[in-house]
Amino acid sequence: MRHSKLAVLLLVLLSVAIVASARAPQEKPPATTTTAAAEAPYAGKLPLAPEKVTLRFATHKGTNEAMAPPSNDLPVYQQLEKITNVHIEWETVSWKDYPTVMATRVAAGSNLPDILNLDRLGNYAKLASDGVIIPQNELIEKYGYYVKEFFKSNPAYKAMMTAPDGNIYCIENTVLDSHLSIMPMVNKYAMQRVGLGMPTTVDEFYNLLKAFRDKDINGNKKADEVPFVLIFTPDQPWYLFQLANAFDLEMTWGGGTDPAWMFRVRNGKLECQLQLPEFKNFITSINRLYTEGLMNKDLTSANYDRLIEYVTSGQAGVVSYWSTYAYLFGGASPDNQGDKDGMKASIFVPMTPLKSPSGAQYYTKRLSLNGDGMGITTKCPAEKRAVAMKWIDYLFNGPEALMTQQWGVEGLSYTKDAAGAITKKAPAGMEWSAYVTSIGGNQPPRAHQQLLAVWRTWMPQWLEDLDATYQKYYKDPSVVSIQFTQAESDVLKAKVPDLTTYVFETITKFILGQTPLSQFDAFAAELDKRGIKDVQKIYEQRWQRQVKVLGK
Amino acid sequence: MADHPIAGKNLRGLQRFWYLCRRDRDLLVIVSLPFAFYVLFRYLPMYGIILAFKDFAVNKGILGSPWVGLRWFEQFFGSPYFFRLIRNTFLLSTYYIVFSFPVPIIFAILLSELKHRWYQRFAQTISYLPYFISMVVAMGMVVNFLNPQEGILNVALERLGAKPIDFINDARWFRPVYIVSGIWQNFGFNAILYLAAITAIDPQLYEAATIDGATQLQRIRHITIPSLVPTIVILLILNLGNMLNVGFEKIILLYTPATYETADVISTYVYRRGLQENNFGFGTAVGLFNAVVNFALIIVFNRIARRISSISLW
Repeated sequence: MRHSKLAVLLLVLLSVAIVASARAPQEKPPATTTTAAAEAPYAGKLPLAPEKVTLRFATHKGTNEAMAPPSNDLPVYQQLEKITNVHIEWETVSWKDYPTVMATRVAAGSNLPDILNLDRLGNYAKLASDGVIIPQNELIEKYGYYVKEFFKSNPAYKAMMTAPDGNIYCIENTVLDSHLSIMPMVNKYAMQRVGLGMPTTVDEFYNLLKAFRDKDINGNKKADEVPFVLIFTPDQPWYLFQLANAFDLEMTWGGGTDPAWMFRVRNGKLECQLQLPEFKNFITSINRLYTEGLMNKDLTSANYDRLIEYVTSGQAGVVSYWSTYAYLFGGASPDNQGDKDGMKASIFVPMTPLKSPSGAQYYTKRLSLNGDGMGITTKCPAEKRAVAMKWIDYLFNGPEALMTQQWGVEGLSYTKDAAGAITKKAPAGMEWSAYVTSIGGNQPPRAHQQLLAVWRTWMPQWLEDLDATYQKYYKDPSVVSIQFTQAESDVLKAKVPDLTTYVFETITKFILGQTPLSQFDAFAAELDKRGIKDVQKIYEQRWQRQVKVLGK
Repeated sequence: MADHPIAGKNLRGLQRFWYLCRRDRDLLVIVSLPFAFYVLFRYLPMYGIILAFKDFAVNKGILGSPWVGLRWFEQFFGSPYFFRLIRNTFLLSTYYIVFSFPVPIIFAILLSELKHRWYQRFAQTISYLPYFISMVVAMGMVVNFLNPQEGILNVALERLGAKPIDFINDARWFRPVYIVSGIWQNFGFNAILYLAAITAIDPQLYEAATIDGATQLQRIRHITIPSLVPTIVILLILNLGNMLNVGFEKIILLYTPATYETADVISTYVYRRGLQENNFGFGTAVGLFNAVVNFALIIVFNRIARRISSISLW
């Protein structure tokens, strides 16, 4: 009897498990109309909701490991909740794993958050037609008070955030495109030791690296110098591609997975840079650096920590990385004599661009949008969509939200006097920027504006001064990252993965000397066979739209 | 144990079925959970295979998405990398089985022959420690050991007067690195099964052999190895049946574009084209192709094993 009761109980449990595991029928997406239609026009006032509203937001942790990922345990996020009256349940995934993790969830169509970072999740219009996100035009019109303000003063951004079908599917992260971009940084003390100055041509750069290799810049009497260190992987090719400017190319960083770096516009014509003689010259020059022991041999597997190791041991004379990190490399260098974190004076100095054969000397500006965008999902209940939009709007451009980004929390990381003057505040023995980052300030991994004012708060004065003198070198990219149509995205999806596999495999082998550069023409011809022209056609179409909406 | 007479042996049809169910209810309850597991997590999800023939749209679901026929298969078979992927997957699997499969067997036999129990336990614990290190950390260690400039292996080579080798960027070295690191990670843990099988061997066999004057090597050759054969054959067939299932995590952590030529396998390709590009139809099509080949392989190897040794899975 006892056995049969147990059997019945287990069978009941089993049945419940089977029923529970069955997939719920597809929910119809709620209508996009909101309940707040009859309210007075929204004017950006806090709090954003009279009663506490809870929203779920899925995003990644950002590319900068030093940043604290969003969490309600951090004072900045507690402050944001306090002023907006919106409680966010954060779901964060590492930047690298984000597209894989989130795309799988999106495909399953279940457990979607209310707000979703659309970084690397594919074409926005396709996500909308698949019923994952909703167009935000109407919501922006009603509740995008600060976004509209931003669009009014920055119409180009509105054009870039608008899909070819006229919809805005998400508010995207805007980046500072012409301030301390990726560039090589040279150890000025090493330059003094070898008796050479800042290089201005490719040959001078080569001679400087040779001098670094041969003249024992770290003074340890060992030939262990690695003059030029950088990372070169398919995920992060930018640290090398920035040098292509010295060969009249523009291999612009686009963020996301947009291979815009393959193309440029010259004389009113879009061309594939990978098939040009300039690209061959560029790769030949890099191959020379590699084979002569002037670059790190582990460039395909290195990461930021590895670069820091090279700097700490005094082996590296030049590092290619984000030049905002110049002070951190300086802080790690054995040439640093008690200047904590390299904030006071320069050691690794961002290099002036090298003159190209045509005499031009430039760094290409980054593309202004980097793919991070806050989409509202169809799973966000209709009654919450107004608040979701207000929250996105406020985080993007609301005054107090920008203050938390720049300064942290009043009373904790800064104080303000009656005249509005701000004084930085940090616990004894802790550097201010590290403190504000630790409480959730700086640039959180959510769609936001990268503001010059915020950036200036963080930069050492010497780096900011140097940046001002480098402004003359920045050049607009000829190919801008505006959105593709769904049909264009489908073609790219079928062609680009195999093409980029081939391109990176071959370029890497050219650089390492595993494939002779006499094979370059065969490489260029093979690109045609593998469909580069189909991809180029899509980029031409997009560029024509770009000219139409941006006028350039 | 004597056979019990079947009380309901005269019953027929449904009555006999219910009688047997009632009689063996305890066993049925025990088996119901694994049965439910297989139904829920192995058989029901199989309907997702139809994704391989559909252009998946989230809002339409798997059944509602439009059919695209063999589009994804055509894209896969038409890819310039198709033959390279198949070759790499097969070669990497084959080499891995050939070189790694005997290691835990030899290790288990050697361990079982050790006289000092404490040393046996110590060696076993040390050997399976790498199995518990996360894949990311383990491969980070491998990349550091093999660093072309400062890796411990290249430093040793230089001290011995040899030229350093760029293990990480040389396609010819990818397979040895993959296999040796795999052996390092798994041989200790995989030896547990063989050690258990050795423990089950009747000690009287060894005692009799010793009395008959058999040496240690003869005992291993004539008692231990033959007793292990059924376990070895079953595990070998299961391993061979998974030949195309080379996991992508380890390869992604180890490969660079310079080693794609030998390192890029079906699963890494699916990761790049299916998962990273959100092309689930394509990913499923390649997965289905993989599964069909694996299924065929397991049938073939099972048949071969049955013919040669009369030991087989079924």
